[in-house]
Amino acid sequence: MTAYAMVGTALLLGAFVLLAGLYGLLYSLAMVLERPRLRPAAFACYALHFGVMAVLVIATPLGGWWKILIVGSCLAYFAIPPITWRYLVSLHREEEGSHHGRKPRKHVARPVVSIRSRA
Amino acid sequence: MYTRDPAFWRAAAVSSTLFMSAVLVILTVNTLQTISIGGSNVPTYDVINRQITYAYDPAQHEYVARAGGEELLFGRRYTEKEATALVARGKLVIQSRACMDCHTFFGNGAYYAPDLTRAWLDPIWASEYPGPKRGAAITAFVMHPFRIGFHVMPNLHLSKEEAQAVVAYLKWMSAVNTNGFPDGFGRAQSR
Amino acid sequence: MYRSQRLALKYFAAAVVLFGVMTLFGLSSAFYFVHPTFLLNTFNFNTSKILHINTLVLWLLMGFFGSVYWFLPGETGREVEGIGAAEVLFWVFCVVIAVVAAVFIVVQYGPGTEFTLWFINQGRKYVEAPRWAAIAIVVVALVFAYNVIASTVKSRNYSGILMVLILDLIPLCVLYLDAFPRITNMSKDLFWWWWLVHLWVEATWEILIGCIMAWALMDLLGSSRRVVESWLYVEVALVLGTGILGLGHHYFWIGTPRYWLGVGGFFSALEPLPLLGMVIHAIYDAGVNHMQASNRPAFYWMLAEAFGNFIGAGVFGFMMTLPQINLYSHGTQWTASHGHFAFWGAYACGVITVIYLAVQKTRGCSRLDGRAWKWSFALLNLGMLGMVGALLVAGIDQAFFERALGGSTWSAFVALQHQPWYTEGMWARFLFGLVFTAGFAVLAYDLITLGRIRGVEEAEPVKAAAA
Ligand code: HEC
Ligand code: HEM
Ligand code: HEM
Ligand SMILES: [Fe+2]
Repeated sequence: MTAYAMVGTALLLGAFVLLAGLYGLLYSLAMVLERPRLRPAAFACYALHFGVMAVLVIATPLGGWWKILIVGSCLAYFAIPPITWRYLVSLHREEEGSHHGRKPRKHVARPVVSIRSRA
Repeated sequence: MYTRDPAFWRAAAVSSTLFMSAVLVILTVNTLQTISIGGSNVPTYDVINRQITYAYDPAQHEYVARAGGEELLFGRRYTEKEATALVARGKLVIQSRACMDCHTFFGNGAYYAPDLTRAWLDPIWASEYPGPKRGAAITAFVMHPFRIGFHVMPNLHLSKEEAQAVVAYLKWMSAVNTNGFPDGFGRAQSR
Repeated sequence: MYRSQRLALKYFAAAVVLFGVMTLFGLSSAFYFVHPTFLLNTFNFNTSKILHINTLVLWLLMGFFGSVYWFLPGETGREVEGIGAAEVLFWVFCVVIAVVAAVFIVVQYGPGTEFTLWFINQGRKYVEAPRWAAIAIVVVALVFAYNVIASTVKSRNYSGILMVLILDLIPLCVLYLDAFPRITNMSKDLFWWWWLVHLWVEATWEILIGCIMAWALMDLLGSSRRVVESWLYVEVALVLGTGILGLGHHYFWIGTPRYWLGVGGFFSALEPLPLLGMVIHAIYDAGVNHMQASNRPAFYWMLAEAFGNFIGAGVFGFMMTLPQINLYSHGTQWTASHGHFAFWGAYACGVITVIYLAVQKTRGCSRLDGRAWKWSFALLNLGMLGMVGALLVAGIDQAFFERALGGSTWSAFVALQHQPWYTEGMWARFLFGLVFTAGFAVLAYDLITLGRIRGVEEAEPVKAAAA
């Protein structure tokens, strides 16, 4: 790999993961703030991430197997935010179904510390 | 759904950990053979009696270290036992002075000073000191470092015997095959 | 308060002190890069750097020990088993560190004999402490492991977190035995050395901090046990599933066989995936709590942990983990850039989170907030971002000129010292190091005075409790 290609490829690899993170961030912010307008922004990030993937595949001298791996992880990055989100929601919902909110733990005592009120 | 059951994930955690650890153990056993002294990548210590080269190999598409004909170090021919003792001493000196907290060896260490993987073959030495004379030159350097660049190497008070052991170590190390690291070594100078 | 929790506070105090020492030696180490004759032959760069990275490992370990001693009695509902020994060993630990530091500063290095390795310096990165001290650390770690295991057994509360913790402590202690051997063959030496370094920071420590953050989540946000435990299992499965063989990204160039290029590259390319999951989780928790918690500093440091881990380890790691890139980035300031960011994000932020939780409980503040923590949070993170940014630029420059074009020779190294991106990067790193140090000073001030000398803003009902 030439020196220029090395720097270019490395920066693309960094952008690849960073954009996946940005997509995840915006996706979950859209959910948590209940602001659907953020969702297009999230998918725009994913589109950029996808674009970076395409550049990596087409224009860098990485080996064929690495390119396959990058395409694979590009797909995985798409799925991680929604799957994680749904999983978290279902976990918490199940929890709230049985008890409400912050329940005292059954088999564990809280750390005992003096809680002086500083009113 | 089963994924909501912690037991499912517990099982996944245990099995993935065990599986990956098992693979690691198998690869480790195999790797230890390759990197043992005299294994396919790591020469025996008496390689210090021979000429070492590190050059691009078109067949392997990378830089490869090779041991050639005889080229004595400090004008002596070391038996395998003597060479082993000398190189072992060199490693002890290297640890005692913490060279690795300034330099890198095979690219591992600190980034304050040049990589020593192929220091024995460095063009600065090789251009002025042909093989048989190089040992003395590098020995003198590590005992009383001079400065060519911005960063300076301190005097670490090596005795002559310690310095020679270190140089033997560097010569042995330059013959280890490292999948082509560092790439292009010496290329810029030869052009 | 349990004795174990009082011990935890001592560990936290020691950790913060060492954090400060580490920061100062970081600054001095950085200064050599811009002024190489600084203290030449009196106090060389390597000694300064040894003190920097050894105090790093030690303050994080102390932070982890403290965190576990802090949460353990709550988890088991009883005093920690063998707490007397643990209290004694805390002081032993401190004295050992002080003696080792004094020897490093005064004696620095010794003759090339076994004596040096036993009593002065072992000269292996991160584990330079002489063997006698390493033995003492093993004893401290073993007593710590005993405390956890015996307390769990006595309480018969085999909770998921405790079981994960116990199973994690065993390899964590065993790997430390790697700090002793002297192996002549550099390939073998480095092979085992990476078991210690990589399998600590990308496997066992990652799980340990996972357990600690699970407790912190229950404490801070009242998350339910079932949720955090399920999540912990997911994390273990993914982190160890990718991280154990990710070890291979250190076996590209040390004499090891070719297949490590494939194995290491493949598994470490997967390592960022679980880290993204952790970011989503953090946002979820932040969201359901409406970005509010009774302990705002802890809450923000916890968020910083998730993001820092993802960017520092995931993004900066992935950038240079494929063998074709690593051939040139290997062993440059690029590595240092990633190393700083990842350690900061994954571990330092986590330890600071727990320290704030402990401050809140011990000083009896129902609500923790203020201005100082915001300043320290901003300065520390800005300083760190500035440093890793500068190192990234310098590191790419180094990979480009010294490694790729120059072929890693001595003269290529010398030529690098005249590259403006590199030299300016070194200056920028030093200056951002000063910003970071200022942040540390504010952090120390805040931790000492919060809720003690300065009042704590107690307003609004605590929203987190209702979430
Ligand atoms: C305080 C940091 C420091 C320590 C410790 C140190 N060195 Fe150096 N060393 C340097 C620097 C800086 C240079 C480059 C000097 C220059 O460019 O002018 C250098 C250069 C060298 C060179 C020449 C470079 C080459 O490629 O051939 C060798 C050989 C060397 N050192 C060996 C050692 C050995 C062996 C040890 C341990 C006994 C050691 N050094 C310890 C800083 C250090
Ligand atoms: C004032 C702030 C800091 C400064 C100026 C600083 C500076 C340095 C310097 C100069 C080195 C030597 C790098 C080399 O070998 O070239 C180093 C190494 C290191 N520091 Fe820091 N540091 C600071 C804070 C931190 C913090 C907060 C952490 C972790 C949380 C950290 C973790 C490390 C690690 C892991 C290494 C070894 C990295 C490697 O060799 O790849 N440092 N630091
Ligand atoms: C918490 C997680 C992590 C921490 C604390 C961490 C820390 C470090 C440190 C300190 C180093 C320098 C080691 C040395 O030479 O002294 C390093 C090297 C490295 N890390 Fe990480 N890391 C983490 C995660 C990752 C991940 C997820 C990846 C890959 C995606 C990665 C890829 C690498 C690579 C390739 C190197 C070798 C650099 C070189 O060749 O010089 N790391 N890491
Ligand atoms: Fe690693």
